[in-house]
Amino acid sequence: MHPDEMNLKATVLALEACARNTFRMRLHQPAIAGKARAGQFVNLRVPDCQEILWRRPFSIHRTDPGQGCFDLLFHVVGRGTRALGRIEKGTELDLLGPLGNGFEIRKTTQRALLVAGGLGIAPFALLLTAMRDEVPDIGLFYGVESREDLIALDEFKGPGIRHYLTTRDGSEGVRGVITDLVERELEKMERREACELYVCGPKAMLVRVQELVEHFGVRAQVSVENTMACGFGACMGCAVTMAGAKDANERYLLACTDGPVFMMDEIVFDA
Amino acid sequence: MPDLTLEIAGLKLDNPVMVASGTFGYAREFESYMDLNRLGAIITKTVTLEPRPGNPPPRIAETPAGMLNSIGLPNVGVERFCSEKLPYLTALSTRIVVNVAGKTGEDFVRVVERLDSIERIDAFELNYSCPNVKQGGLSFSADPVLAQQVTRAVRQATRKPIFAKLTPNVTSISDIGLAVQDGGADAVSAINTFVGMSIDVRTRRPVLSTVTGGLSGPAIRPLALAKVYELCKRLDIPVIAIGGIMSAEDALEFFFAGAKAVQVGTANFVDPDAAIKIIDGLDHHCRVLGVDRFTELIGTLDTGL
Repeated sequence: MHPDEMNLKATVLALEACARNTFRMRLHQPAIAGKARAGQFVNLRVPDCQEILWRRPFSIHRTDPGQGCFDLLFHVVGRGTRALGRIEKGTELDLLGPLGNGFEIRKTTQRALLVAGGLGIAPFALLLTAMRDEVPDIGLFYGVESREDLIALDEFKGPGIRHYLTTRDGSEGVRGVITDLVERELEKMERREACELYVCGPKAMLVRVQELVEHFGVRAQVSVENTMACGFGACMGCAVTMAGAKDANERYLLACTDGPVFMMDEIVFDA
Repeated sequence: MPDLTLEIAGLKLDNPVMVASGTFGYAREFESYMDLNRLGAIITKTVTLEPRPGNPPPRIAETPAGMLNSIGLPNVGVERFCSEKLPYLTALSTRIVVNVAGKTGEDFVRVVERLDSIERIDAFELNYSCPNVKQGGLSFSADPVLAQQVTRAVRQATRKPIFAKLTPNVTSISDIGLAVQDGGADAVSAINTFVGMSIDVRTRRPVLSTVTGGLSGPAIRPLALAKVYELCKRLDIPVIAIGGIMSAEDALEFFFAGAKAVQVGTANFVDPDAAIKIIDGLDHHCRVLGVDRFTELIGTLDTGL
């Protein structure tokens, strides 16, 4: 690859609060908008602040190749995202990307269940765009704490896309957790071999989905989140434990370059 | 155009900017971000005799202007290093320095012996000082007698230049520096990370799986500079400075203090072409300062004393 093709500048076109403690950032960067695949991420530098050392990795939420722009969603969780949430429109940011492997859409998949917990919804807009003409039957399972946490789903609507929503407090959709609805769906499903799950969300949800896919014998791809110093395989900080590694010396994978999307049965979610 | 070339321990470098072990993989990770051949030297991730999986996660934590790591030297072992990693490195035209570690002095010697006949390996860096490996590393660098013994044993196994990488986690780093100098080291690389620790106050648990780890980044730069200055005053062999260098100005501090070359480490994670920007920045500073040869700047600190 040509040097610097992944080390890019992007201009902030818009930054808006889109749910509780959540921002949507729109960035102008045609190379990313043109080639990013669902599940890939960018690593953003917080500008003018050496005290915040690392970049911050974010899933690519959706792209608009025609306009040369793409969106990110992020929660304000610490000093890095707090600083990014205060950035002025027009600011130029350094970013690396697109990084990571992304989701795979297989020709044989007839049904897809997209399972999102909280901000785990982020990579699914781009995934839906990529799969809506490929997969005839798509279910979007989306669980949040409360209705204030909901990211608007209008753009995810369309023929062949069914929506399932849970909130823990019952303020919208079904009261409970999304994995209960996923379990019910898998229970009544015929021809599970033609079904594939796409999963992104908090660890407790991932652990439960892992139990379900093992029990029902369905394929599942999961996008994991991890702390990263670099995002491109150099720091080796974002280790993920491999399931049933044959060689004890190769028991770790890297979230950044081996992932962030893994087959669900390929990894172990550490305590 | 200013001349940035230099010779260190018999090794001719195009410029004094190297990339530090453990922050640059085996170089290929960075090929999308720079022309690798512009680097003064590439120091590989540590190679050990046997493969190592590294430490369990979590392995890293961000701290103010720095980071803690406890990666634990994951690597494929020297045999697979030769078959899988080395062909890419040896096809480059810059200097290649292989960083070596072992649990025992004999391990160091065996890895160096295995690699010594490979002509394109230009030098070895001995990692005496990784703070994250149980029963290893640190003891070699914390004890002058052991450090000297291992250096001497490796000296007998190779005629290539040897850099001894030192830990700052000792009372007197220059005592260790003198010991490895007497043992036959051609240069010292200083410093490795400071032992540090971070606790998640919500869970009351350490952030790293190994409880403590190594602190790096701009946070340690003033600490590193003082250690490098001490070494430069007491040692005859060259000092290769490491410690939170993010910019050409940071590097200049170390050169003024007497370092002959620098290694860029943590900066590579944040800004993959940081080392190239530093090389360009040094060129710029030489022009501004009106020096033809970069080496004229080394050790020119004016303490006013």
